[in-house]
Amino acid sequence: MLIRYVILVIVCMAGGAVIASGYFAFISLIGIFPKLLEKVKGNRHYMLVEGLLTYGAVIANAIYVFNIRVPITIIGLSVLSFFGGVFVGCLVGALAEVLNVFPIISRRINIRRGMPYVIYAIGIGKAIGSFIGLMAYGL
Amino acid sequence: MADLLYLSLSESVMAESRKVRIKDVSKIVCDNPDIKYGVEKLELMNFSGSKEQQVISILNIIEEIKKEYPDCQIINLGKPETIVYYKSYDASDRIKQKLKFAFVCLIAFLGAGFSIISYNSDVNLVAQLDLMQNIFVGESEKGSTVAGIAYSLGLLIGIIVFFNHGTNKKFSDDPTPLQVQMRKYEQEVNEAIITDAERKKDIRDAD
Repeated sequence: MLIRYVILVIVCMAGGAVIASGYFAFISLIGIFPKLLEKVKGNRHYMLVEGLLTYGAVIANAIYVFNIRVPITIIGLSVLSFFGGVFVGCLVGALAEVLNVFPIISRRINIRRGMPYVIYAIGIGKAIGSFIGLMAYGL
Repeated sequence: MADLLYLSLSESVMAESRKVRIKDVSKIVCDNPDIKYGVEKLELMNFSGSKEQQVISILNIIEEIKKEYPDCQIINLGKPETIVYYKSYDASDRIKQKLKFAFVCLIAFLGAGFSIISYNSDVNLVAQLDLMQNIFVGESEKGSTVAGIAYSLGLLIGIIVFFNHGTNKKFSDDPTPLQVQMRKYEQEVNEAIITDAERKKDIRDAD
């Protein structure tokens, strides 16, 4: 019996390690935090940010896997969801940038000025679309 | 024989004062110490108003040097252009920066948590752990705690190995992934600023 548990532990641990490296390779390759840190002139504190990424993921993962109840009321939840939304928004924008969407589109349809308005339009469209999508799920 | 003067222009520098001298943007090697000293002290530009960055071409620097030392041969071993940044600080800026930085920290902490949960629920991780419990151990008790603990520990190990540090102490001298990305981004920004300045003719160049 013990040997079976040992195998289970080894397999799950290896799985967790692989998923974590893959996941964070994606987040750091997509380059959200270099840009955000550059914006706030916090380049020196990259180790702190990496630490926060690490423990944020570890704690949230434990909460999800073990189904831990964390009563932070509706206010805490909305703060948490807000920052989650900001993160996902950054991820979406960075993904579009990594895939060179904006340079290609602006070359194809010859937009020189007005690029900021395109980005506002994308942002507002995403917000409305997300809201409607969540409403459709009955939220 | 003309004196040889070697310059090595930096990619970008942060100016300490409004006055920018050649020694701020370049390393200088010259056999003749008088010329070296004189060139180091030559003034390149003066930041005025709210201007915060300026691209300076090597040609502009050569011109400035030639004005003082006409028969000096100049060889540049560094970059063809350099960007000089200048920031004037005041106290209210500091607090604003701190607040913004705290905001980014919150995005990092809560965002990473949010997205790992969205990944886990996307792949239905709990059901998978249950399945693995059935495969490897056989008892189908609900909520396989052992597998969950192992997975969470593995996640922690994976992230720490990937980032090369768990606290503020690195395991080896390698730069961390975020550091590498930051430097890469810095280089791209510098390149964009130089190209932009060339297009707008906002570059200190030879006349």
